[in-house]
Amino acid sequence: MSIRVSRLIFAFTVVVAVVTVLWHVQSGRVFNDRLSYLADTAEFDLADPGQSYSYNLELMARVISAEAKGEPYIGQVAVGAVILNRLNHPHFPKTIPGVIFEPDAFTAVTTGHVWFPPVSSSYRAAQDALAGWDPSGGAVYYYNPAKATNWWVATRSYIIQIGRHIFLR
Amino acid sequence: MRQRWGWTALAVVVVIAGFVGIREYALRKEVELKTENQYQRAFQEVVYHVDSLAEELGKAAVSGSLLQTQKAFADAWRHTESARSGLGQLPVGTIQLSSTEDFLSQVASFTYTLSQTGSHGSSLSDREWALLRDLRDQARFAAEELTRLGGEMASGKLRWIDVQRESMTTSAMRPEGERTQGAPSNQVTKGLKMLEDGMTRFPTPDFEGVIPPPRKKLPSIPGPEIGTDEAIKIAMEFAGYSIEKGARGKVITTISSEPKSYRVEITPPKGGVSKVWADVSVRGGRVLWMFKESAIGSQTISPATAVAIAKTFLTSQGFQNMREISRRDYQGVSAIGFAYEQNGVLIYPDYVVVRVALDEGRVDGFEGTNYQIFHKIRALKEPELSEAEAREGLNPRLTVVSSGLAVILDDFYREKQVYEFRCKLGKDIYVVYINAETGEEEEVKKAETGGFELI
Repeated sequence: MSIRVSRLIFAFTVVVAVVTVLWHVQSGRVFNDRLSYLADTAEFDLADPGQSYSYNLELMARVISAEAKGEPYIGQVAVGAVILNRLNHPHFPKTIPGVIFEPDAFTAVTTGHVWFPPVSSSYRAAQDALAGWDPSGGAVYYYNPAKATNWWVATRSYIIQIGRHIFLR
Repeated sequence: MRQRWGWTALAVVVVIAGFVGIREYALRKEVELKTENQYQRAFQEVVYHVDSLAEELGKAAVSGSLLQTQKAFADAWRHTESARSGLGQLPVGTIQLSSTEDFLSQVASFTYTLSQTGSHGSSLSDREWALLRDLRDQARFAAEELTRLGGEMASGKLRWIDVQRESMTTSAMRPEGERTQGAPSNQVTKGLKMLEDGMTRFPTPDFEGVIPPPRKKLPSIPGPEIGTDEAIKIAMEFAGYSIEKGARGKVITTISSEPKSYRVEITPPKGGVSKVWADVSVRGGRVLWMFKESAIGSQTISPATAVAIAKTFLTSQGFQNMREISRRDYQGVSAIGFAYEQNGVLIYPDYVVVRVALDEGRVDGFEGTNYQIFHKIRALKEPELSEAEAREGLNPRLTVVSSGLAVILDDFYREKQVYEFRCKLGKDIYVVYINAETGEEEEVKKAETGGFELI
């Protein structure tokens, strides 16, 4: 009996330890920099365009990367365009950090995935969105139908699906 | 012996688990409290700013002095923007607040515009005064509702953390519309819903012509409707491919946003470019924008060559008389902005961007929505003022680098003919626009704002 008990306790402890480690990795608290091998890390070759501009660009690239990594390129630009479209919409904050950090506005910000190193294509996508490209067709919302509950979608009008995201107005 | 080991191990694990549990719980409480305090701060500031807004609007309505009115408008604007900023920090995702948000946005625009126009020396018109009174009443209502809720929150019984728990975090974007389904269970949500319901009952004021419209009203592109095959052909020709040479194209969807357009996807034959996308307008069959997806290699051509390539591309696609006005290099590409030039006058509303990949000098992007919608030959009047007369309006401390005539859009999206002066102050380059009719300074821009270098 006692051997069984100690084995059980041992197994239990191991399971707890493994689960704890996995949870911490998943939530991005450790190995953040190690995960970068998954993404080809971006070169920081921005030609000094002013502090606040490059901070906004960095933020946008992070959101684009975390929300639309692996999507077609125009899907990445479209996520950037949604951030910019929100700036001109009365229901959203008026600055890029305001839009991005609005509570529960972006899943990647809520979950912390936004702090993983961004993929390099997301910087180009952010720049293209800033230069005026808008493949979202003027959208201010998007969602992933495979992941999101869509009870509220009925109230917004559909514009286009790009990759896995559906863009709405 | 074995038995004792087992029980000892069990006791140790239980004690450790207990300690870890207590520590995690305390940490969570601490984080929760900090979050709650931040929400409380944001909310109480919203209450304060909306209350002050109502007060400033009241002052503006009463004051007989132009200077005081202007000051009240400027203060009201500041309070409105602070209130909006605070609202954006609260977890109100599941609560429908669009009337309140619309109100704040309109008040911001109204107070800002009037704090500016006041400086032209005119007092409020009857219509402006009537609008001001309506907005003041609505602001007072909002302030009362918020103050009441703020009082309840200060009693310590209501928590924002509970509102946050109620809010949906699963969806990618903040849901709106039917955000509160059924009766709200939370007192904070209830209070905000009462505010919103009250705001919805106020009639929507008519701001036409008083404040700038929130966005440019887009005229439709002239021309007959084209079919999908035609759209594919136009997109392919624009991107430099053809079906004969092995490219395949399809229309993915029709986009209903103005201007209505077809989203065309082209799969080129084997080579560097893997996919091409373009939006082609349903009416007139104009290419609104285009993107080529490809891996971009190391740079072999200079940005100056890129400008020449972009210009050649535009000419070949029928965009005549385009002058380069800005350029930005990033991640192996150059995005070059061009404006239409009519008899030496730069027409800024007719604007396109061409993106050139610097590895092999391929045009791999185009954005011309504005140009395609607004471009026309304008009837330009001879300017009232000569350039020398306009120059007198410049700040004498500036050194003028270059100058010329241009057409720009004002806040109301009206076209204005101006003299453009590129000036130097120390190391900085500024662009100053002086109205060619009135001699007034319309706008001052710093080169490189928005990250785009002016050429």
